[in-house]
Amino acid sequence: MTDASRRTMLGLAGSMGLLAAGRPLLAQSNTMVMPSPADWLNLTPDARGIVRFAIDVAVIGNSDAIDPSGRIGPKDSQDYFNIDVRGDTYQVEGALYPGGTIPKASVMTPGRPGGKSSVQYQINWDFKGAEPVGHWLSRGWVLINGNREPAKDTNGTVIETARTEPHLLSEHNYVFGRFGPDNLSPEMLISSGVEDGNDVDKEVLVRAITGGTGRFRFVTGQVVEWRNGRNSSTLRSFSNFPGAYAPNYRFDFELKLG
Amino acid sequence: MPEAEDLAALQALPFAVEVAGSRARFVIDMAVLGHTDAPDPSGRIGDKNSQNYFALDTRGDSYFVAGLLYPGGTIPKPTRPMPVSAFRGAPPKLNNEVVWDFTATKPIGHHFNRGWVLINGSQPGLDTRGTTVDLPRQVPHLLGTHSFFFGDFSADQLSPPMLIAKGVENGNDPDDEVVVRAIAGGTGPFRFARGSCRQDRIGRNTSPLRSFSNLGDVMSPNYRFTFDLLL
Repeated sequence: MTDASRRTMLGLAGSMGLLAAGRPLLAQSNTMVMPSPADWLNLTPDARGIVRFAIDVAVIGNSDAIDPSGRIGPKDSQDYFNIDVRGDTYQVEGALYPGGTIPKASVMTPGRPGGKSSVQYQINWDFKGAEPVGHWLSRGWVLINGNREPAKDTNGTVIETARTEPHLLSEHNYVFGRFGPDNLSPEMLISSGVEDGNDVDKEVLVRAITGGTGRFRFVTGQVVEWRNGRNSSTLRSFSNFPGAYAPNYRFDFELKLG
Repeated sequence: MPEAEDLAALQALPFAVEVAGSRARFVIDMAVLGHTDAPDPSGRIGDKNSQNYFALDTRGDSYFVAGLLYPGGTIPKPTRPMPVSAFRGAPPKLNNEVVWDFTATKPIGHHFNRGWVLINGSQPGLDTRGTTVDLPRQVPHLLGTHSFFFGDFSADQLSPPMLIAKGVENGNDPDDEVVVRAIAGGTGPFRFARGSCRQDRIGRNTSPLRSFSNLGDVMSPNYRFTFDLLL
């Protein structure tokens, strides 16, 4: 049996377990089975030629790298909702799993002291449950303008007021495989759009698919991004505020492959 | 062919869309909001403290800027060639006229533009053997991605239908500035869109650009985008 066919066999076992239990399967030897994308990504089109599948992502908070060097407002502040943060760029990574891997958040949990409670604040993922099958890379610009002083033109006309959501304008790369010396560019999809709002219970975003590789090289479509609780890593961009745990997301893809 | 629900979504947009089979065409106007112009020179090859962009290698700068969207035809075309006082010696140009002051009507959506600066106003680049490998080039100015959001943002509508266009933009003669951008994707009725859009200048507006703040008021440009899509 070749390595490739062995991996396929293991992958099939993994995806069968995933179907059965809604979670990736631990092999008998207690080593994690990592199904290859061919095994868990169902790309069979429906009667309208549309392919649908889901992935889960746990944002890795310690990879959250924000660059305020181009910011319009004060560059040394984390009081993002009271200053004009536009001009900030950022990059952050996440662990990518087959859809259904991260359990659905269900326990009402307070967000910050004095703030609202929501199931979306529950820490429902600690990275021990499964090894990721790919990478999620997000980078972009911050859109938050928390400056309460309206912007005026040279005639004194108000041309813009504060807007604190959506927070980000970003590009996502969904990499369906793990990087390695022999696997520098697994097949992937790219989406572009805005994300993050102020009410975690209303946070549903639709993003445009802008390209892909491998089976996705001729792709068009869109992806819906949903919150699904938080994980055990904390965001660097809120390092001055304790307990800012990184979010998890579900992505539902609706694609035409060409 | 767009499905019935997509045709209905196109008709619900706050501007007219001409649909013929799978082809869709429409026109959008946009006024750049100068106070949102946020250049970041931290990665610049040349002098990071200068705004004399055309005399240094500005490549490495990134930028973000927002604008307001209007139905095509909202912003009137310029009629009088005008100089820009900050650009000494430059001849008057039609597209320097301030034709928009934001008071006539409310916008229908948001435009976000981000990318990198392409201007190299510096010396020729030489390789290790003294061979010239790169000459100064002042046009086009920018390599950017545009997001057109056709609606306002709210807690209940964080992502209105949108289109994304990528390409270069801006030249040194505003009356000769026509660029074509590639459509990279969209959402809602545009989720399977491919195509291009033509970008034309239509004068300036009453908001000054932050990136020229050392030179005086350089009023922000307005643009007209003509979309040609396959849905």
